[in-house]
Formats: sequence, structure tokens, C-alpha cells
Amino acid sequence: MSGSFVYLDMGLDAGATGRMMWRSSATEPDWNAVFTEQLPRVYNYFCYRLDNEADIQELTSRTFEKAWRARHRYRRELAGFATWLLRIAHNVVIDHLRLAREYAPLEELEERPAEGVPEAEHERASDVARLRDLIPTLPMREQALLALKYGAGANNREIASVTGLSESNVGTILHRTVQLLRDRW
Amino acid sequence: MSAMDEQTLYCLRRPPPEDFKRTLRASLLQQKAQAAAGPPRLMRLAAAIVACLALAGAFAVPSVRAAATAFLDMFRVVHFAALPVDSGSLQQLRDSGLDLRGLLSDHVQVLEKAGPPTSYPTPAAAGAATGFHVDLPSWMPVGWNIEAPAVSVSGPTSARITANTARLAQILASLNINDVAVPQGIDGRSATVRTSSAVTVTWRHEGQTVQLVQSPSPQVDFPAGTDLPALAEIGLRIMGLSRNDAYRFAQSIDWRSTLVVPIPANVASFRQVSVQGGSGLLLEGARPAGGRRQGKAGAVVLWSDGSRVFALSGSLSSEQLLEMAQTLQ
Repeated sequence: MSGSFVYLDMGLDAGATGRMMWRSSATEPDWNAVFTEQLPRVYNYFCYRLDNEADIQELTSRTFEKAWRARHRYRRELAGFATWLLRIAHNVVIDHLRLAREYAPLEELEERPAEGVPEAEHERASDVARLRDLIPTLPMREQALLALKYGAGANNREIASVTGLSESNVGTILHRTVQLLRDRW
Repeated sequence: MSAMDEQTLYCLRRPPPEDFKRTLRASLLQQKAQAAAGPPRLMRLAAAIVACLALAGAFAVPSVRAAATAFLDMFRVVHFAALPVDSGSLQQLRDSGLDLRGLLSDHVQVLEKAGPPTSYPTPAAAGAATGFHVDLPSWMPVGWNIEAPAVSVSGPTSARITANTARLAQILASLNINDVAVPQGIDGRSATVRTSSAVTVTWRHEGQTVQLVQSPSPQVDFPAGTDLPALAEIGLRIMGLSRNDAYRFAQSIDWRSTLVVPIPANVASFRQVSVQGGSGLLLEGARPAGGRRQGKAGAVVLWSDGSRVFALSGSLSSEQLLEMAQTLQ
């Protein structure tokens, strides 16, 4: 396969298209679009799975590097590239958590509001801290689904493809999970 | 703290830091440069005979697995090749009461029996018992408990097969195959088949099962000078291939290192896949007609690392099984 990082030639600011672009080859993604569109999704997926910014960046990097190395294994007819990338991210974080064996304490990363900041920012920081407290109390599967939905912005169909659950099951679990978070809020 | 609404759930989102984006871009640039400097990666194409055949019907993984297992006894496995076979021919073969083991001989001497499988508490314990490291996946789909599989070991087997050309000619005649010459030089000669211990690791989750079988490659000692393509061509004719197809397939295969997996017509599809840098075979099942939309038909991935053979099967999607296979270590 003659795939290459097209963004090297096009530049990263070539314009977000909102949808993945494909070159003339049947399976070769436009890596410029991949990087521009998918980096925030993958990064934010890890924001919901991990508490440490260094780990988030490390795993985001690892995901893109694995995608690049495994590009010859990607088959367009089986899944969208974004879904494939999220699946890699999903596997990467599972490996990471398995090695870590346990979640690191979140307290150190709580965004505590500083003195003198506006009330709205206070409130947001408080929401962030609360959500970060609550997510690790959920089972791992629910954490994963929450990260895919609200971090990566994946729809239920994409989440089903990444996790192996049925689409209806994804919807049910997410509904229950959000309800649980509301109850504990 | 505000009341929790849908918007609150997005509050952890933030844009990736610009310096991180730059660093990642530089890292990927470097990989691109390294890739450009190295030799191109080429996808290994499936054997021509299996590339363009589509098979339809309901899929029965056990039947495929059984067929594969039967052939595992016959070859030293380094590569896999799929052989599409007509289900009508297979049925005819079954109805004829012929025993595949009897194709070359009416006498198979079992030298060592495997006995019933033995359970072990962990893969490591099974590895200690068999003498080889048991590879395990580092990833399974969400919900599966990867760390708590059931593990069992089947013992080694060996058998000696002695060829009987008169018997083989009789079988060919009974199937109305009259245009194949039986090599007379093999009469009375023996081949010894040895299989090593096999470790089976099984995961179960919500009524679904995933199974990984691994074993050192079976070894078959053939008498020097055995014309394997000629014998293979006979076997292919018996399985229903035409004269030309059987000849071409027999000549295209390295019979000393290739496990040929017959794919019955009730298998939906098969393709060659890359598993951990080597080539393997993926058999994918079709959902039964009128079956539930969400039902999973299952798939089997077969591959070899040169010294061991692996079979990963289950009712997961083929992508998930392949992902699992890629993470084996």
C-alpha cells in the first residue's frame, strides 16, 4: 500500500471538512482530515478515561502512531475510519489501565476554583471536579461508553462498533449511566 | 455546582494543547520518513484459488473447525490456504461412507492417544505442563473478563499411516474418478504423524464463547521422494474438484508447510489476513436466513507463527477476533 501522511503536503490548516475525506484509493484515508478531525475526538475520549494530562497526551499519541503503523489493516468496508481509530484508542486505554492496575487518584487533578474568579467559572470548575469524582465510581464498561459518547462524541452506532455491544444495548446502558450520575450528583 | 444536565456531561471536553499537537505531528512526520526509507509493506494476496469465490448459506463454525482439525493431523503447518469445496460433493463423500483417514491406507496404527483434556487453573500452569509459553490476548471487547478464562490441555498424539494403493484405486473407482493415476511407488510406505499438546483457553460472557487453541505445529514424517502434489491431487478430486482445478491447486501449494482448510458451501466467506506480521486465514460466517439482526454468526482466525499454530474462534465479529489475535503475546 502506498499510503502516506497527506497532511505533510497539504498542511494541517487545509480546512476541516466536517467529514472524513478519502483519496482516490479505495481504502486510503486523507490523513490531513484524520488528524484535524479526529485528534480532538481521541484526545477527549482519553480525557474521560484518564485524569493525568501527560497520560492523555501519551495515549493519544500512541493511538495515532498505532493507526499509522496498522493502516494496511484498515478495511473501509468494515468500519468508518473514525470508528476504527476509536477502537484503537479504546484498546490502548484498556492496555494502559491493565498495566496501571488501578486508577490514579483524581484529587490531584481536580480543578479547584481559584480565589476571585467569576461565579460562572467557579461553577464550571465545580462541575468538572464533581464529574471527575463520579466517573471512576462507575464500572469500566460504563466509563468507556461515557467517554465514547461525551468525550469522543461518538453516536450509539459507532459506540456499538467499538465495544461489540448492540446499538440498543449501548443506548440502554448510557441512559442508565446518566441517570445514575444524576442521582449521585 | 450547577444541576446536572446533558450539557454538564460534556464539561470535561477541551481542545488539545497546541504544543501537544505540534509534538505529535513531528512524531508522525518522523515515522513517515522512516517508512519512506524502509522497504514497502506489501499485503500478501490470498492464493488465487480462494480469492474470488463467494460461498453462501448458513455457517457452522464447528464443522469448519472439525475439518481444520482433521487436516492438522496431516501436514506440518506454516501457512494456511482455503479450499472451497462443493457441499454436494462433501455430502456425496459422507454418504459413500468413506473415511478420509483411509484414503491412503486401510491401516492406521495409533501410537499415542491424547486422552481426555486436563483442566488447569491458569494459562501459566498449562504452559508449565506443556513446556511452551501460552500466548494470551491483551484485549477483549468490553464486558469480557480477559483474566479469568477456562484452560485445558489435550495431550500429544501420534499415528503411523501405511499406504495401500489397491485400496485407494478402489475408492477412486467407487467415486467414478477414472482419470487419476495412483502413484504405485507409495504402496506399503508409511508416514508418521505427531501432534503436540494443545492448550485451549476459553472465555465466556453472556452466553457467548471465545476460544483460543494453540499448539506447536504438527509434524509429519514422509518417506523421502513422496510425490505430495500427486497425492494431494487425488484427495482434491475426491473432495469434488474438477481435474483441472485439482491439478492447478495441487501444483500451487507447498504441501510440506501448508494446512489446507476445506471450506464447505455453508461458509459465508473467507479471506487471507495478516496476523502479527504473518499470514493467516479468516473464516466468517453468515447470519442464518431470517435470523435476528443482532445475532452474531461467528468467525475463526487461523494462523501460524512458524513454530506454533493458533485458532481463535467465537461469536464475536471478525474485526474483534482479529483485534484479539493481533494482541496475542
